[in-house]
Amino acid sequence: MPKGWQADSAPLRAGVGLRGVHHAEWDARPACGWLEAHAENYFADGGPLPALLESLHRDYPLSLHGVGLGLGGCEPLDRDHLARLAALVHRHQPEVVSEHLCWGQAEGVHFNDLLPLPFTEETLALLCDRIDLLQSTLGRSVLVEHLASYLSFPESTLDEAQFLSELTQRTGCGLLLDLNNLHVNSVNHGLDPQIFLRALPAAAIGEIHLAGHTLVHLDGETVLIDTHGSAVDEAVWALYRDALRLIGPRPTLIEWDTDIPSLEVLLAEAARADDERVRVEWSTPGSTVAQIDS
Amino acid sequence: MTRSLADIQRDFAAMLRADQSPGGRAAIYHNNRRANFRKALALTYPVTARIVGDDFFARLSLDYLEQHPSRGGDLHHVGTRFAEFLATGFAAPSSAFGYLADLAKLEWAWAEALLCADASPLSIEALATFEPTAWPRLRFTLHPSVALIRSPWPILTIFDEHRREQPAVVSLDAGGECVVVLRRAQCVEAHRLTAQEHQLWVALAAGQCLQEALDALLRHLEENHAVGEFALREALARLFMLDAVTAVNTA
Repeated sequence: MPKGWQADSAPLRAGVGLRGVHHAEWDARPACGWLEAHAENYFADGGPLPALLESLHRDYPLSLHGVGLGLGGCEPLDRDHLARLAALVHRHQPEVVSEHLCWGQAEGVHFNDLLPLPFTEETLALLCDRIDLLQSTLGRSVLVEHLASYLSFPESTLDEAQFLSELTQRTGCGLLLDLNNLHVNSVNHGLDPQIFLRALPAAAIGEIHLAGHTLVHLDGETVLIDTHGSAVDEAVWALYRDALRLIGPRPTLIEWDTDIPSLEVLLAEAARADDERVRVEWSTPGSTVAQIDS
Repeated sequence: MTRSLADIQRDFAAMLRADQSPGGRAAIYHNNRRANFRKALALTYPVTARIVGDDFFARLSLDYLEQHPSRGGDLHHVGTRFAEFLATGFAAPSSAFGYLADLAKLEWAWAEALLCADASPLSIEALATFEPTAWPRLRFTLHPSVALIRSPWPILTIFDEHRREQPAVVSLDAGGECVVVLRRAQCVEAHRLTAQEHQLWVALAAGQCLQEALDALLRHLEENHAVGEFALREALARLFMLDAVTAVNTA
């Protein structure tokens, strides 16, 4: 069983992000491995949104993916936000819960973005405390996702993979490996994604994200922005094949958040992820088809 | 000199909050903050956004962000004070956009109604369980989604038209409208109320008993030298027909 997933619930078949524009299209219950919902979108006291989530969860495995907690912020965590997340998790009992390694607010102002952190012992200690608090509040282990970023900090003393590895060891949390983030970072910061993939603790990886990005030219350099607004790039598919060979299959999700296409297009991307996985399985000597490492 | 994590976040926050874009890669974060905020606001206020157009809405969103920045990680709340902001910005009655604040109130009520707690509506037969002598003392609990808006402009007509593909022109001289927004069977709806119905609903929502609500209504009619009488039976029937009542008691 991959890290973070409830017993025997991890789907082999790829899933897609649940977005408001597709709510009606899910009525037909198209074939799909699983669904991931942004937790905050379903922060409601009642009404059609939690009802929809409940109904979809009867037919698909569900992941709740938090985007607003800001685990790495220096100011105290928003207890009300945490309580709402806990209530949502309690009500829906999703198969897996995840959040981001970021910060989002200062002096009472929230920036509603996934802001980057320096990789230092100080950040590590803060994140460990926060992840402990999150896991004890929810009563379960969570996955944490590393960010795509446009700035890095001269203060960083650890490399990111080492940082993530320490985090999982100290808290028992799992990792959500976002291969688009990895590709975006490798271009933006001149890193070697292969070294990153090999340095990660494979057993801690509980989920893989695939998404599209946007290329911009800024002051004469190429920068990739993690827009989730297009199809998965070929470079990211290549990283997916590498990850499948290195760590084995993991529950995989297609994310698309801006210029969202029809559900059909999203499901076609998920089908490609399934094809890529099957092809790697058949071409890898000694691979045990359809096995998920624990 | 090495900055602490708190220093780093304070510097970063100052960069994000500055009016001037920092340029370079930091500008991506500076832009993202403003774009995320604008998109969330436009999701809550689609009709307002459509009426004023993308460029003007972007400007409104920037000014609003400056005065009322987001306070939490749940984007549902970014629009909390938008109607208030618009009311201050377009307060002059001569302003061509004077109705925007009331329209925004309607849209906010709509957004809130989508998320509020569930409650089962009561059928009008529930009234029959009370002796007629007890009726003046009846108090009503309204559905948590019920929001009442009274505007000097035809805001529901404007709202309805701009949810169509081809909105018809609405004359601002068409007169004011009273509106109730509520959620029925998981769908949010907006309905026109007469001024008297509106007053009754407001009184009942405030916890007044039927007698108190009626007294206030009749006093108001007298003060305004209005003629005619209030059709209480019809008004109560409508209240129940719209699934607005979830409990009745004589406490």
